[in-house]
Amino acid sequence: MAAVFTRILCPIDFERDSMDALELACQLAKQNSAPVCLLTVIGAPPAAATALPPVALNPDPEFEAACARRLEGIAREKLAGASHEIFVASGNAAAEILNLTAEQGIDLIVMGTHGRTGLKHFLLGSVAERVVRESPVPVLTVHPKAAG
Amino acid sequence: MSFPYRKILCPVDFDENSIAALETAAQLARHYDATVYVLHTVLLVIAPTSMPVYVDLYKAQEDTARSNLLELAHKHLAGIKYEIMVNMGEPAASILKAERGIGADLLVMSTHGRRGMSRFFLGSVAELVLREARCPVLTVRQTVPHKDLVGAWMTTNPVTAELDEKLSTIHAKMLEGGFRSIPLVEDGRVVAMLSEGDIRSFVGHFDDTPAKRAITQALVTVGPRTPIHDAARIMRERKIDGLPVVEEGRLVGIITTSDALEATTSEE
Repeated sequence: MAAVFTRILCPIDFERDSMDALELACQLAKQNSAPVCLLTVIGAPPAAATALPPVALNPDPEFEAACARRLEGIAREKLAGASHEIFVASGNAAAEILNLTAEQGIDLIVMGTHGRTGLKHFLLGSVAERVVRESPVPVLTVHPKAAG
Repeated sequence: MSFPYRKILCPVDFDENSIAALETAAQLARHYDATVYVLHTVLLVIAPTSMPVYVDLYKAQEDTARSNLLELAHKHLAGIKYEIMVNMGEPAASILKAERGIGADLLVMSTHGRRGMSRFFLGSVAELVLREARCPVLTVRQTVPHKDLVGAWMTTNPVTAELDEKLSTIHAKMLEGGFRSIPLVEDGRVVAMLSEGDIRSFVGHFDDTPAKRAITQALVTVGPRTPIHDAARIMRERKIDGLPVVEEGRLVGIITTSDALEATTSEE
C-alpha cells in the first residue's frame, strides 16, 4: 500500500490535547511508515501581557536542551518504535510550525485545536487557526473531545 | 485493519479547493479501505416552510447538486466506496449534522469555501466545523500552482564557496555577482550561508580568514516545492537575505528576498 504521508509534524506543547494529537500522529506514522517530527516552541510572553516592545528572544541553550530531553522522553513513551526527530524552536509557535514544515519537507501536520478550556463553546486556538489557514500541507486537527 | 478511518466525510463546494480535499479524501479512503461520504449543502436563504413557493426551486437545486456530485465522484472516486449526500441549509450546521449522523471517523475539507478567498481568512464554515466537530478534521489547501513555488523563482546553479576559501575571494565573488549571501558547500552539500554582514565583521582580515570562521547563522533551507510565500516568511522572520534551495540533499538553487519580492509583486 502506497504511503499517503511521508513526513509528519506533530507540534507538542505538553498539554493534553497535543498528547491526543501525538497518539493520532503515531498511528498515522506507523501506517505510512513515516517518521514523526516532534516540535516544541519556546514562546515569549504575549506582547499584550507585558505591554513592552517585543524583545529579541535570547535562546537559553539549557532550557532548550531540557525541552529536547522532555520531547525525547515523550517520544520514547508514546511513539512506541515509530521513527522520530526532535526539534526545539523559539518564537511564535504558528510561525515556527510553518517554517519547520517548509524546511523539513513535512507533508502532514497533526495538532490539537487547543481551545482555552473552561468555556462552553470551544475556541479555536490561535496557533491552530493560523497553521490551518497558512499551511501549504494538510493539517489534521484533533479536538480535545474527539479523542475522548 | 485496526485504524479507525472507516467513514470519511468530505463536504464539497464544486470549486477547485473542494477538489483538492476530495482527492485527499480519496487517497485516504483507498489507503484505509474506507467509504467517502461526499456532501454538498444547498444554501437555504429562507426556510422552505415559510415560503412554500420556493420549495420547487430548491428541489431543482438539490437535483442539480446531486448530479454534479455524481459526476465528481465518478471522476475522483473511481474504485472507492462512496455515498452522495445533499443537505439544505447553512453549510457548517449541515456538515456537523452529517458528521454526527453518519458517525464520521474523519472529516476532510478545504479551508476556503469560496473561490478568491485570501489565505488570511479562514473560511467561516471551516472555522466553525474545526471548533465543533467531534472527529479529527483534515484541512486541505488548494494545490499551490507552480508559479507560486520556490522552484519557479530560484536562481539555479548558484555561485558557491568552500569552507576554507578566504573571505577575500568570496567577497570578490559577491561583489561581482551582486550577491548579499553565498552558500558554503562541502562535498556538494550546503553547510551554511554566509552573508555580507558576516563578512563585514572581518574587514581588514579578508586575506587570512577562512569562510568557516565567519559563519554566524544555523543553516536553514527550503525545497523547490516550498511555496514562495513560506520562503519569504522564513527570510523575514530570520532576517536573512537568501535561502539555499535543497532537493534530496543537493543544492539546486538559491532564493533571495529580491526573488520573493518579484514573485509577490508580479501577481496579476
